[in-house]
Amino acid sequence: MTKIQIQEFSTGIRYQTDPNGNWVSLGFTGQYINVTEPNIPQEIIRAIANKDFAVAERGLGHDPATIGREIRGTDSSWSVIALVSQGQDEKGRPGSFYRFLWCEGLNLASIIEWISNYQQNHNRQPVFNPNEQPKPMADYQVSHREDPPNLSDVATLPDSLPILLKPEDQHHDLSRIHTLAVTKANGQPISWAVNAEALEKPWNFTVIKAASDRAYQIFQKSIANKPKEVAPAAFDEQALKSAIKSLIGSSIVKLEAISTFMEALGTTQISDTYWNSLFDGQGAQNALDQNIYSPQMVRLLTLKLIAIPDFLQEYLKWIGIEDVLSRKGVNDRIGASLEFQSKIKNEIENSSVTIKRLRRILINASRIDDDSRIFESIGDRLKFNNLDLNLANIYYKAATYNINMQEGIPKKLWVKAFPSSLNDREIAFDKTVNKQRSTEVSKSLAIILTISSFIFGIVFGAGGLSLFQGFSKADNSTDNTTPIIDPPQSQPSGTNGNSSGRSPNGQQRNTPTSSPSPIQTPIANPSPTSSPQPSSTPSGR
Amino acid sequence: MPPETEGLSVNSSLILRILGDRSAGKTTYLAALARGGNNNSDNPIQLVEAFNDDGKKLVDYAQNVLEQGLMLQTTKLVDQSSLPDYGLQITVKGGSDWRNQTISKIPFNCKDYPGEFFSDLLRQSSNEMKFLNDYLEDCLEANGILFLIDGLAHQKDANYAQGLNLFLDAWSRSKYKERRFALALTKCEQPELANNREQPKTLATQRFPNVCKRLETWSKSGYGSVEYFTCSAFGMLDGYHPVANAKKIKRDREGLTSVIKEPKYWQPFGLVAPIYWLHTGKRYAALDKY
Repeated sequence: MTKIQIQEFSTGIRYQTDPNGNWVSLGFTGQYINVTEPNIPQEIIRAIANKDFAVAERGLGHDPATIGREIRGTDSSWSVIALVSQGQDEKGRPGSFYRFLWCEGLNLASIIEWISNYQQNHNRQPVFNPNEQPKPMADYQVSHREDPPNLSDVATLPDSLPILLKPEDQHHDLSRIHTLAVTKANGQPISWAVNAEALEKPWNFTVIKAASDRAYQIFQKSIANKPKEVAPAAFDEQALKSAIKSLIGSSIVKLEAISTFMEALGTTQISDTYWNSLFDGQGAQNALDQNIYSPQMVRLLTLKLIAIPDFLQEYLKWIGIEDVLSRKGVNDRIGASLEFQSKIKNEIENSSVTIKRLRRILINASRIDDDSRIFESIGDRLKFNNLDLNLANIYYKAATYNINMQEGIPKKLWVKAFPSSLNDREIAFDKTVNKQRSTEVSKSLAIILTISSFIFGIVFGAGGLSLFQGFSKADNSTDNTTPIIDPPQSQPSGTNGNSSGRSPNGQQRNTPTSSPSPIQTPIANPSPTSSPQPSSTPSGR
Repeated sequence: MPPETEGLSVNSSLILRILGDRSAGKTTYLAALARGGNNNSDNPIQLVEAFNDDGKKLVDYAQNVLEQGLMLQTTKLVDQSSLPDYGLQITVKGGSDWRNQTISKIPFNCKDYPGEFFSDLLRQSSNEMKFLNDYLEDCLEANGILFLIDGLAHQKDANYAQGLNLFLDAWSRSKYKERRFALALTKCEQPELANNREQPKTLATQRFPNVCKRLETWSKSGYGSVEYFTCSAFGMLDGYHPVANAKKIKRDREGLTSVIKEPKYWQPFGLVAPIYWLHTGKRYAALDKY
């Protein structure tokens, strides 16, 4: 018969033991103890971090709780049982302490078998005990147990999960509760909690057997009040929450945190509603309602804007964007947001998931008054105070994005947005401006689009071109995804005012094309300072 | 070279971290704070609101644990970005100047460090506590530190002074021009502390001379300002001879563990005063009473 190897590890504490063998905690160490296999699968570690085994404050009665769960990874799966008992520290304060038993595969029944053997051999249940050193590995081997056949007497139980059992319920031993969970799980990973008073995520179980009548009522209530939006299955919610906490709580942007955030932005199952619930959990809605303006809240709402571009109007109102155009200038909130943007821009500018969202933000910006002036003023602030010239440049370019096509881009703004076009080519610029005066509007529109797409491609790097796919004033309300211009296919030389901003064949289109070419051509090593001289410019003032 | 951006935002907001040994009363302090003020019309604390999920948990701890006469669990040790980060906003009426009748709002987020962080600083070893540097780095974010000491743990004075050394050395290198460090003695409902609670600096200096000396030196060297407070998460029971509204669980040289005796008469004091000072740099005397 196949043997199953069980492993274990426990909460790490410093402790002291009295002559009777009773221990008290002297504090946590942050590392597991009594570890039989140092390579604990990451999926198990993440499930613990996601509170899949966590009993809540006041979650334990006198007797230990037992929590079993199958964890299914992409290539492998594991079974874990946590034995959770209440202990004390030397000050008499309570704490919950965990002893985890695990094995590879979907073998909860085998771990239950090991527990039952332990009970027979020791005449007591296994519990967390820092003094109990791991046994020889042979002692952790049990024969493989098939999951028991379905129970026939569960027809009366409801189908909605979790199934909540009263303390006096007949299904009281682990094996039987496990069998009940197998019957009811319907192919989903099995999970159950036995003898718990309170759990962090009770809705996240197949079967729960309450430790007391009071616990039963609490579970009923919290299952009924299950959060409306829960994380998609198999999504590491805690990692994202930690990343958001890290990004908003620290003035130093940690690469790991921004990567996790960006990865989540690219996860399609995450809905706006779920994003909203995540941000609200950190205080976003309260910050809006109660005008809480701490740097932490500014960073939080800035992240929210990146995740949910349709939040723009509300965000601008909250941040007091009108100050930018008044004598007040950049207020503290805007300043804090710019500081944050300055720190994350390098990390987000090469990502297609953020470019897509930045494009939506810019499109949404067309609905606010004076968006161009606002972006330009912010750029001025960043530039003249020498705070972040690259970010200033992005704002100048954003100022050209929604500009009224009939007016064209004012020369002053043009020079700020595309500085390298000025240096030795001002005359050429003037010439083209003059030349453009006589051209028809549709043509200048096309030119702006082409130039803009090109410039933004440079600013935002590889994914930047998609930023301008489908952009046009007329298109905003209808189709924002249809490409209307072709991207440049090669690194522009930037030296001779050639038509490198155009599509490869030199043609420009100002209407949705019937045969759009792929937009993903990256520009290698883009540099804002190497912006080339455009072939022509739109009409000046 | 990364662009210089520190000048973009005015750091008028309080960025707070709470420091203290295990069982100093950090989570209890925060839970009692989150529960809000009382209905006394003289009370300058108008409102305390929790504005994020973690903050709301504090209110739950106050109502369903402390108010039931139970003790809070020890805070779990996890990496600092997974720690609870309580978001609270305090609304205070009036100010340090009696003519000032304005309403001010103090929003802040506060991570609840497990006491192991400070006790590991005491041991000056990161061997056992793998998060020490992670936490220390996070502390550099703060422009205000609230250091909570169990007022009855005076035998650990020399020990604490030593731990502070390491902390202050690190924090003095933080980016801020202005740093505020509030030392608050907790558990001041206890008779040994209650009689002198209105002279916080004297009381602190008597009981923790080495800690105070270290802080004064730090402040005189121009690294930041220091102020002293006394507070109690449980408060006193009014009467001819007010007594502590606390039931002793354990008392030893390392301090006191207790629970609320009469939840109905729960009146903490001194909880907002250090936060107001950390936020404004001004002391508001009326807050010491509430």
